Amino acid sequence: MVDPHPTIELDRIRARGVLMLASCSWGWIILLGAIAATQHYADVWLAPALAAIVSLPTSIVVLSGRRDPAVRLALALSYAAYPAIAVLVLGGHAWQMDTHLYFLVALAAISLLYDVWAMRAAAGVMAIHHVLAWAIMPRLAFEGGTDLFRLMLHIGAVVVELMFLTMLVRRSKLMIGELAAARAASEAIAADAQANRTAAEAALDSAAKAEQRANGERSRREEAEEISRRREREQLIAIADAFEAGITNLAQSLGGAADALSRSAESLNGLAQETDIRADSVADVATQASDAARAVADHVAALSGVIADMDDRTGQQADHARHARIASATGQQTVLSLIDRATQVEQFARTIGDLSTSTNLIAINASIEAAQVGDAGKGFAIVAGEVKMLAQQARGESHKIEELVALIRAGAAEAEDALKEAGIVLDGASGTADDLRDAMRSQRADAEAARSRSTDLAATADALVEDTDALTGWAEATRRLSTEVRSAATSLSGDVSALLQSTRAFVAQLRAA
Amino acid sequence: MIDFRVFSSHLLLAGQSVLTATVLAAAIVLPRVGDPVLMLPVTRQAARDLSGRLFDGKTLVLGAGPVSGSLVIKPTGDPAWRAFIAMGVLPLAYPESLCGEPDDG
Repeated sequence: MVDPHPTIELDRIRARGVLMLASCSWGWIILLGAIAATQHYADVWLAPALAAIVSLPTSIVVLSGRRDPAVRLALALSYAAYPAIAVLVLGGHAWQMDTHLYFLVALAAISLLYDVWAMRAAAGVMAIHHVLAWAIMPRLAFEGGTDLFRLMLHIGAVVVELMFLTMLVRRSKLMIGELAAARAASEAIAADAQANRTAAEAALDSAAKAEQRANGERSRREEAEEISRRREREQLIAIADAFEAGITNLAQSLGGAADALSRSAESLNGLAQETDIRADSVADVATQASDAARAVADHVAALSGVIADMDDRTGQQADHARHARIASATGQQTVLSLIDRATQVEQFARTIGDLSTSTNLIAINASIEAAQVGDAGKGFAIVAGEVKMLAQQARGESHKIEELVALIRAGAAEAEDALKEAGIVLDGASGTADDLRDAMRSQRADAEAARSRSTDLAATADALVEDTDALTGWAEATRRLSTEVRSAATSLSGDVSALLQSTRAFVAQLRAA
Repeated sequence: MIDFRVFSSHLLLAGQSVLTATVLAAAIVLPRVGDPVLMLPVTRQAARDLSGRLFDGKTLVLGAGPVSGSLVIKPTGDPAWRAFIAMGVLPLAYPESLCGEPDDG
């Protein structure tokens, strides 16, 4: 009874068959009720009631969800009963026997259960039912009376149908099994495909994530590269600016240097020319200096003779100065004696002055006395007056003497001073003479040295002339060189301008990049 | 609600077999319109009442049945089978193979 090759698909088909036949059972009930209602059957509800009774157990278990082989077998048994109920209901009707066809229909319907055992059971029940009906109610089973061959014909039809249906069910089961296997294989393949799909989706997801990460990384890298490029470009521009500034400064410096070099070259050229001229002049001057040096040497030689003569004369002058110093000292002593004498004279003059003063007083007293005497004293007064006048004259003379003495003393003092100064001067003159003599001697040695130097100077001047000739050659070379330098400076200026333009163009392209 | 899944398969098959056999048997033995009917009383009283009930002029009595007190009849109208069943008389299709041809006379 148990299907040796159950499959999920077969169980599913069988379950659908069970549900379908269970549902159709109630269709049978309604159909039988309708048939009974149209017939003159005594009890209209009998046939539906019988159908309901036979359908009730299977309907209950099917509604409870069972689809097992027992349910299928029970359902097949119930389907074996429906045609019999139909035959019962159509009893006496002309189509009663035609209702037998529904045994075959029922058997065919049972084949939807795909259960051979159910089909066999139903066919067996139908066969038994026919045999019993044939045995008990021959006219009921077969109109016209008992006929074993007709019975066998009916049973044969059921058996044949059973055989074909069995074959059909078995083949269908095989096909279902194959389909199930194919489905299982396809499901396995589908599972593999699903697994592969899952793996592929996971891989795609991973790839998408990786791509997303790669995109992110690429974006970050591109951003970093952009920042790096921007920084490099900024640095490049800064370098270009610095380069341009440096080149500009260099160009300016080089330009200035070239200009300065050109100017220096021009100056050098001028200096070379001037040096040439000056060298010629120097050569001339050196020649003249040589000649002059020789002349100086000659003159120095002559000067040496003069100095020697002056040396002799200076010695003599020193002797004279010493003699004059001695004379000056003597004169100084004399002046001192004169001053002593003048002092003595002054003392005499003062004595005379005192006497004249006393005389004047006496004269005055005499005049006063003479006045007191009156006319008698007039003569005396005259004499007193004369005496007074003489006293005054003496006093005046004494004053003159004092003044002369004073003058003498002053002159003596001046003479003494002069003599002292003269002595000092003479001392100095004597020293000077000695110094002069020493100087003359030194000058004489210097003159000799100067003469020697003049001779050397002449030789040096000759050498200078030769050097000046060389200098003239150098000045010429310098002039040529300065010309070349100026040309090079001009070329350098052009190169600097070209370099500056190229640098600016390069920097402009760099900034535009 | 009763869970019918607890019913065993054997119980289901036994019950279904009994019901199917009963219905098939009923399909054989129940009377059919126009065919002879064996009225089988199950009690003596039913046998006595059957005779009085059948001879009402509406039912054609074909003869005595194979069992004592039983009769073979042929309904002419709408027989009240339930009334007979209530009387204790079972109306059955006449089994001619067992009882022979009914006697119409």
